[in-house]
Amino acid sequence: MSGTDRRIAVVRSRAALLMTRLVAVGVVLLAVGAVASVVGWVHAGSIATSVGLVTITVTPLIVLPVIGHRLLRGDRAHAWYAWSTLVVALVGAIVALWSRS
Amino acid sequence: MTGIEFAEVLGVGFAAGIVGSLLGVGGGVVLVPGLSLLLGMPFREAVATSLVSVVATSVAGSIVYLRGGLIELPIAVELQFFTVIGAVGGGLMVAMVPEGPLHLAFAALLVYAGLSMMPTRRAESTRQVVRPARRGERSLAATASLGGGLVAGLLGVGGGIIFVPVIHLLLRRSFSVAAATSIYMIGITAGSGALVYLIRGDVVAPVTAVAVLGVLFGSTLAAHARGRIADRPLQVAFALLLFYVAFKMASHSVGNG
Repeated sequence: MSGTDRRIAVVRSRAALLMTRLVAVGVVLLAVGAVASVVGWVHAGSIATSVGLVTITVTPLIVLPVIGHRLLRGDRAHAWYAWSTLVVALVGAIVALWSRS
Repeated sequence: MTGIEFAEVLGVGFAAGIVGSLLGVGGGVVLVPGLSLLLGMPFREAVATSLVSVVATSVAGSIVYLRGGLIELPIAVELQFFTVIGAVGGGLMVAMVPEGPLHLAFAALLVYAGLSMMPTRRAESTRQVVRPARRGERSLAATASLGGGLVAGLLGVGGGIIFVPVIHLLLRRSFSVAAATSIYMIGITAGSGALVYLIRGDVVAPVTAVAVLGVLFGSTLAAHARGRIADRPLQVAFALLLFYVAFKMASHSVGNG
Protein backbone atom coordinates (compact mmCIF):
# COMPACT_ATOMS: atom_id res chain seq x y z
CA MET A 1 0.00 0.00 0.00
CA SER A 2 1.46 3.39 -1.03
CA GLY A 3 1.56 6.50 1.15
CA THR A 4 -1.39 8.02 -0.71
CA ASP A 5 -3.45 4.85 -0.28
CA ARG A 6 -2.65 4.75 3.45
CA ARG A 7 -3.62 8.41 3.85
CA ILE A 8 -6.94 7.89 2.05
CA ALA A 9 -7.63 4.81 4.20
CA VAL A 10 -7.12 6.95 7.33
CA VAL A 11 -9.41 9.65 5.89
CA ARG A 12 -12.09 7.03 5.21
CA SER A 13 -12.02 5.65 8.75
CA ARG A 14 -11.96 9.09 10.39
CA ALA A 15 -14.87 10.32 8.23
CA ALA A 16 -16.91 7.15 8.89
CA LEU A 17 -16.32 7.46 12.65
CA LEU A 18 -17.34 11.13 12.73
CA MET A 19 -20.43 10.42 10.61
CA THR A 20 -21.42 7.54 12.91
CA ARG A 21 -21.21 9.71 16.02
CA LEU A 22 -23.12 12.64 14.49
CA VAL A 23 -25.87 10.39 13.10
CA ALA A 24 -26.18 8.65 16.47
CA VAL A 25 -26.69 12.04 18.13
CA GLY A 26 -29.26 12.99 15.46
CA VAL A 27 -31.20 9.72 15.76
CA VAL A 28 -31.27 9.93 19.58
CA LEU A 29 -32.61 13.50 19.36
CA LEU A 30 -35.28 12.44 16.83
CA ALA A 31 -36.31 9.51 19.05
CA VAL A 32 -36.42 11.78 22.13
CA GLY A 33 -38.48 14.28 20.15
CA ALA A 34 -40.96 11.59 19.06
CA VAL A 35 -41.36 10.21 22.61
CA ALA A 36 -41.69 13.72 24.12
CA SER A 37 -44.39 14.62 21.60
CA VAL A 38 -46.31 11.39 22.34
CA VAL A 39 -46.31 11.95 26.13
CA GLY A 40 -47.45 15.54 25.71
CA TRP A 41 -44.24 17.55 25.98
CA VAL A 42 -44.90 19.11 22.58
CA HIS A 43 -42.53 22.08 22.90
CA ALA A 44 -39.59 20.02 24.16
CA GLY A 45 -40.34 17.37 21.51
CA SER A 46 -40.37 20.00 18.77
CA ILE A 47 -37.01 21.42 19.87
CA ALA A 48 -35.38 17.97 20.08
CA THR A 49 -36.78 17.02 16.64
CA SER A 50 -35.59 20.25 15.03
CA VAL A 51 -32.10 19.97 16.51
CA GLY A 52 -31.96 16.32 15.40
CA LEU A 53 -32.93 17.22 11.83
CA VAL A 54 -30.36 20.01 11.69
CA THR A 55 -27.69 17.66 13.06
CA ILE A 56 -28.34 15.07 10.35
CA THR A 57 -28.58 17.71 7.61
CA VAL A 58 -25.25 19.36 8.37
CA THR A 59 -23.38 16.11 9.09
CA PRO A 60 -21.97 15.76 5.53
CA LEU A 61 -20.92 19.42 5.59
CA ILE A 62 -19.15 18.93 8.95
CA VAL A 63 -17.35 15.80 7.75
CA LEU A 64 -16.17 17.55 4.58
CA PRO A 65 -13.49 19.75 6.23
CA VAL A 66 -12.18 16.69 8.09
CA ILE A 67 -11.65 14.95 4.76
CA GLY A 68 -10.11 18.10 3.33
CA HIS A 69 -7.78 18.53 6.30
CA ARG A 70 -6.55 14.93 6.13
CA LEU A 71 -6.03 15.07 2.37
CA LEU A 72 -4.09 18.30 2.82
CA ARG A 73 -0.99 16.27 3.64
CA GLY A 74 0.51 16.10 0.19
CA ASP A 75 -2.69 16.64 -1.78
CA ARG A 76 -3.39 20.36 -1.75
CA ALA A 77 -5.60 20.29 -4.87
CA HIS A 78 -8.22 18.02 -3.31
CA ALA A 79 -8.04 19.86 0.03
CA TRP A 80 -8.71 23.11 -1.84
CA TYR A 81 -11.78 21.53 -3.46
CA ALA A 82 -13.09 20.33 -0.05
CA TRP A 83 -12.71 23.68 1.71
CA SER A 84 -14.06 25.64 -1.28
CA THR A 85 -17.13 23.38 -1.36
CA LEU A 86 -17.82 24.15 2.29
CA VAL A 87 -17.47 27.89 1.64
CA VAL A 88 -19.94 27.73 -1.30
CA ALA A 89 -22.48 25.83 0.86
CA LEU A 90 -22.15 28.35 3.69
CA VAL A 91 -22.54 31.29 1.28
CA GLY A 92 -25.73 29.65 -0.05
CA ALA A 93 -27.11 29.27 3.49
CA ILE A 94 -26.29 32.91 4.32
CA VAL A 95 -27.97 34.15 1.12
CA ALA A 96 -31.07 32.04 1.95
CA LEU A 97 -31.13 33.55 5.46
CA TRP A 98 -30.73 37.03 4.01
CA SER A 99 -33.51 36.51 1.43
CA ARG A 100 -35.82 35.20 4.18
CA SER A 101 -35.41 38.35 6.26
CA MET B 1 -49.93 12.56 13.31
CA THR B 2 -52.00 9.38 13.72
CA GLY B 3 -50.54 5.90 14.13
CA ILE B 4 -51.52 4.99 10.57
CA GLU B 5 -49.89 8.13 9.15
CA PHE B 6 -46.80 7.37 11.23
CA ALA B 7 -46.64 3.83 9.77
CA GLU B 8 -47.26 5.10 6.21
CA VAL B 9 -44.52 7.74 6.34
CA LEU B 10 -42.16 5.26 8.02
CA GLY B 11 -42.91 2.68 5.27
CA VAL B 12 -42.35 5.15 2.42
CA GLY B 13 -39.11 6.29 4.05
CA PHE B 14 -37.95 2.69 4.48
CA ALA B 15 -38.62 1.90 0.80
CA ALA B 16 -36.87 5.10 -0.29
CA GLY B 17 -33.87 4.23 1.88
CA ILE B 18 -33.50 0.77 0.35
CA VAL B 19 -33.89 1.96 -3.26
CA GLY B 20 -31.71 5.01 -2.73
CA SER B 21 -28.85 3.18 -1.07
CA LEU B 22 -28.81 0.24 -3.50
CA LEU B 23 -28.91 2.43 -6.61
CA GLY B 24 -26.92 5.41 -5.37
CA VAL B 25 -29.71 7.89 -6.10
CA GLY B 26 -30.65 9.01 -2.59
CA GLY B 27 -34.28 7.94 -2.69
CA GLY B 28 -35.82 11.32 -3.56
CA VAL B 29 -37.35 9.80 -6.70
CA VAL B 30 -39.28 7.41 -4.41
CA LEU B 31 -39.98 9.72 -1.48
CA VAL B 32 -41.41 12.74 -3.34
CA PRO B 33 -43.99 10.70 -5.36
CA GLY B 34 -44.67 8.55 -2.29
CA LEU B 35 -45.40 11.48 0.00
CA SER B 36 -47.21 13.67 -2.53
CA LEU B 37 -49.14 11.09 -4.62
CA LEU B 38 -49.75 8.34 -2.03
CA LEU B 39 -50.06 10.37 1.18
CA GLY B 40 -51.37 13.66 -0.27
CA MET B 41 -48.62 15.90 1.11
CA PRO B 42 -48.18 19.29 -0.66
CA PHE B 43 -45.41 19.03 -3.27
CA ARG B 44 -43.19 21.72 -1.73
CA GLU B 45 -43.31 20.04 1.69
CA ALA B 46 -42.67 16.65 0.08
CA VAL B 47 -39.59 18.06 -1.63
CA ALA B 48 -38.33 19.58 1.65
CA THR B 49 -38.88 16.27 3.47
CA SER B 50 -37.19 14.43 0.63
CA LEU B 51 -34.08 16.62 0.70
CA VAL B 52 -33.48 16.06 4.42
CA SER B 53 -34.15 12.33 3.99
CA VAL B 54 -31.74 12.17 1.06
CA VAL B 55 -29.04 13.49 3.39
CA ALA B 56 -29.93 10.71 5.85
CA THR B 57 -29.65 8.12 3.06
CA SER B 58 -26.30 9.53 2.07
CA VAL B 59 -24.89 9.60 5.59
CA ALA B 60 -26.07 6.10 6.51
CA GLY B 61 -24.79 4.64 3.25
CA SER B 62 -21.54 6.60 3.31
CA ILE B 63 -20.58 5.23 6.74
CA VAL B 64 -20.74 1.66 5.42
CA TYR B 65 -19.17 2.45 2.03
CA LEU B 66 -16.34 4.50 3.56
CA ARG B 67 -15.40 1.59 5.83
CA GLY B 68 -15.66 -0.80 2.88
CA GLY B 69 -13.39 1.37 0.72
CA LEU B 70 -15.93 1.65 -2.11
CA ILE B 71 -15.99 5.46 -2.19
CA GLU B 72 -13.36 7.11 -4.41
CA LEU B 73 -12.68 10.12 -2.21
CA PRO B 74 -10.50 12.05 -4.70
CA ILE B 75 -13.24 11.85 -7.35
CA ALA B 76 -15.98 12.71 -4.84
CA VAL B 77 -14.10 15.68 -3.37
CA GLU B 78 -13.30 17.07 -6.81
CA LEU B 79 -16.78 16.68 -8.34
CA GLN B 80 -18.79 17.77 -5.30
CA PHE B 81 -17.26 21.24 -5.53
CA PHE B 82 -19.05 21.67 -8.87
CA THR B 83 -22.29 19.98 -7.75
CA VAL B 84 -22.62 22.30 -4.74
CA ILE B 85 -22.07 25.38 -6.90
CA GLY B 86 -24.87 24.08 -9.14
CA ALA B 87 -27.15 23.12 -6.23
CA VAL B 88 -26.76 26.47 -4.45
CA GLY B 89 -27.24 28.34 -7.74
CA GLY B 90 -30.29 26.22 -8.61
CA GLY B 91 -31.82 26.67 -5.16
CA LEU B 92 -31.42 30.44 -5.33
CA MET B 93 -32.81 30.84 -8.86
CA VAL B 94 -35.63 28.27 -8.58
CA ALA B 95 -38.33 30.95 -8.61
CA MET B 96 -37.07 32.45 -11.90
CA VAL B 97 -37.04 29.30 -14.09
CA PRO B 98 -40.27 27.87 -15.58
CA GLU B 99 -40.67 24.21 -14.57
CA GLY B 100 -42.20 22.82 -17.79
CA PRO B 101 -39.25 23.07 -20.22
CA LEU B 102 -36.87 22.12 -17.44
CA HIS B 103 -38.82 18.93 -16.75
CA LEU B 104 -38.88 18.00 -20.46
CA ALA B 105 -35.14 18.56 -20.85
CA PHE B 106 -34.48 16.58 -17.72
CA ALA B 107 -36.72 13.73 -18.93
CA ALA B 108 -34.72 13.54 -22.19
CA LEU B 109 -31.49 13.47 -20.20
CA LEU B 110 -32.83 10.64 -18.04
CA VAL B 111 -33.80 8.56 -21.08
CA TYR B 112 -30.31 9.02 -22.52
CA ALA B 113 -28.69 8.10 -19.19
CA GLY B 114 -30.98 5.06 -18.84
CA LEU B 115 -30.08 3.78 -22.32
CA SER B 116 -26.39 4.30 -21.59
CA MET B 117 -26.65 2.44 -18.28
CA MET B 118 -28.11 -0.72 -19.83
CA PRO B 119 -25.37 -3.37 -19.46
CA THR B 120 -23.82 -4.71 -22.67
CA ARG B 121 -20.98 -7.14 -23.34
CA ARG B 122 -18.84 -4.30 -24.62
CA ALA B 123 -19.55 -2.28 -21.50
CA GLU B 124 -18.68 -5.20 -19.24
CA SER B 125 -15.36 -5.64 -20.98
CA THR B 126 -14.25 -2.01 -21.17
CA ARG B 127 -15.98 0.08 -18.52
CA GLN B 128 -14.91 -2.00 -15.56
CA VAL B 129 -11.26 -1.18 -16.22
CA VAL B 130 -10.08 1.46 -13.76
CA ARG B 131 -7.62 3.93 -15.21
CA PRO B 132 -6.89 7.61 -14.58
CA ALA B 133 -9.43 9.83 -16.35
CA ARG B 134 -8.15 11.89 -19.26
CA ARG B 135 -8.18 15.68 -19.00
CA GLY B 136 -11.14 16.02 -21.39
CA GLU B 137 -13.13 13.39 -19.51
CA ARG B 138 -12.51 15.11 -16.17
CA SER B 139 -13.58 18.48 -17.59
CA LEU B 140 -16.75 16.91 -19.03
CA ALA B 141 -17.43 15.17 -15.70
CA ALA B 142 -17.02 18.49 -13.86
CA THR B 143 -19.40 20.24 -16.28
CA ALA B 144 -21.96 17.42 -16.01
CA SER B 145 -21.68 17.55 -12.20
CA LEU B 146 -22.32 21.29 -12.29
CA GLY B 147 -25.44 20.60 -14.37
CA GLY B 148 -26.43 17.74 -12.05
CA GLY B 149 -26.13 20.02 -9.03
CA LEU B 150 -28.15 22.70 -10.80
CA VAL B 151 -30.92 20.20 -11.59
CA ALA B 152 -30.78 18.90 -8.00
CA GLY B 153 -31.18 22.42 -6.63
CA LEU B 154 -34.01 23.24 -9.01
CA LEU B 155 -36.01 20.00 -8.69
CA GLY B 156 -35.26 19.01 -5.10
CA VAL B 157 -33.52 15.69 -5.76
CA GLY B 158 -30.09 14.56 -4.59
CA GLY B 159 -28.58 14.40 -8.08
CA GLY B 160 -27.52 10.75 -7.96
CA ILE B 161 -29.33 10.09 -11.25
CA ILE B 162 -26.68 12.31 -12.84
CA PHE B 163 -23.66 11.46 -10.68
CA VAL B 164 -23.84 7.68 -11.15
CA PRO B 165 -23.69 7.82 -15.00
CA VAL B 166 -20.98 10.50 -14.82
CA ILE B 167 -18.71 8.40 -12.60
CA HIS B 168 -19.55 5.08 -14.27
CA LEU B 169 -19.56 6.13 -17.93
CA LEU B 170 -17.26 9.16 -18.08
CA LEU B 171 -14.73 8.28 -15.39
CA ARG B 172 -15.03 4.53 -16.09
CA ARG B 173 -15.40 3.25 -12.55
CA SER B 174 -17.41 0.11 -11.76
CA PHE B 175 -21.10 0.57 -11.07
CA SER B 176 -20.59 -0.35 -7.39
CA VAL B 177 -17.92 2.35 -6.96
CA ALA B 178 -20.04 4.86 -8.92
CA ALA B 179 -23.12 4.20 -6.76
CA ALA B 180 -21.12 4.37 -3.51
CA THR B 181 -19.29 7.57 -4.52
CA SER B 182 -22.59 9.09 -5.66
CA ILE B 183 -24.20 8.26 -2.29
CA TYR B 184 -21.45 10.25 -0.56
CA MET B 185 -21.72 13.18 -3.01
CA ILE B 186 -25.50 13.58 -2.78
CA GLY B 187 -25.20 14.15 0.98
CA ILE B 188 -23.22 17.32 0.31
CA THR B 189 -25.50 18.38 -2.55
CA ALA B 190 -28.80 17.68 -0.76
CA GLY B 191 -27.39 19.04 2.51
CA SER B 192 -26.79 22.41 0.88
CA GLY B 193 -30.35 22.43 -0.51
CA ALA B 194 -31.92 21.12 2.71
CA LEU B 195 -30.23 23.90 4.68
CA VAL B 196 -32.02 26.45 2.47
CA TYR B 197 -35.39 24.72 3.07
CA LEU B 198 -34.73 24.50 6.83
CA ILE B 199 -33.79 28.18 6.98
CA ARG B 200 -36.94 29.11 5.02
CA GLY B 201 -39.12 27.04 7.39
CA ASP B 202 -40.48 24.70 4.70
CA VAL B 203 -39.62 21.48 6.59
CA VAL B 204 -42.53 19.85 8.50
CA ALA B 205 -40.50 18.53 11.44
CA PRO B 206 -42.68 15.62 12.74
CA VAL B 207 -43.26 14.07 9.30
CA THR B 208 -39.65 14.61 8.26
CA ALA B 209 -38.36 13.05 11.50
CA VAL B 210 -40.39 9.86 10.92
CA ALA B 211 -39.37 9.73 7.24
CA VAL B 212 -35.72 10.18 8.19
CA LEU B 213 -35.88 7.35 10.72
CA GLY B 214 -37.42 5.06 8.05
CA VAL B 215 -34.83 6.12 5.48
CA LEU B 216 -31.95 5.57 7.90
CA PHE B 217 -33.15 2.05 8.70
CA GLY B 218 -33.74 1.14 5.04
CA SER B 219 -30.51 2.60 3.69
CA THR B 220 -28.35 1.02 6.42
CA LEU B 221 -29.92 -2.37 5.74
CA ALA B 222 -29.40 -1.98 1.98
CA ALA B 223 -25.81 -0.74 2.32
CA HIS B 224 -24.87 -3.88 4.27
CA ALA B 225 -26.44 -6.07 1.57
CA ARG B 226 -24.93 -4.08 -1.33
CA GLY B 227 -21.70 -6.07 -1.56
CA ARG B 228 -23.62 -9.34 -2.08
CA ILE B 229 -25.66 -8.04 -5.04
CA ALA B 230 -24.26 -8.19 -8.58
CA ASP B 231 -23.85 -5.03 -10.70
CA ARG B 232 -25.86 -6.23 -13.71
CA PRO B 233 -29.36 -6.49 -12.18
CA LEU B 234 -28.76 -3.22 -10.36
CA GLN B 235 -27.86 -1.50 -13.63
CA VAL B 236 -31.06 -2.78 -15.25
CA ALA B 237 -33.11 -1.70 -12.22
CA PHE B 238 -31.46 1.72 -12.29
CA ALA B 239 -32.15 2.15 -16.01
CA LEU B 240 -35.81 1.17 -15.55
CA LEU B 241 -36.06 3.64 -12.67
CA LEU B 242 -34.67 6.38 -14.91
CA PHE B 243 -37.24 5.58 -17.64
CA TYR B 244 -40.06 5.67 -15.07
CA VAL B 245 -38.97 9.02 -13.64
CA ALA B 246 -38.54 10.39 -17.18
CA PHE B 247 -42.12 9.37 -18.03
CA LYS B 248 -43.46 10.94 -14.81
CA MET B 249 -41.57 14.19 -15.45
CA ALA B 250 -42.65 14.40 -19.09
CA SER B 251 -46.31 13.72 -18.26
CA HIS B 252 -46.14 16.26 -15.41
CA SER B 253 -44.70 18.84 -17.81
CA VAL B 254 -47.35 18.16 -20.50
CA GLY B 255 -50.07 18.21 -17.83
CA ASN B 256 -48.92 21.63 -16.65
CA GLY B 257 -48.41 22.95 -20.14
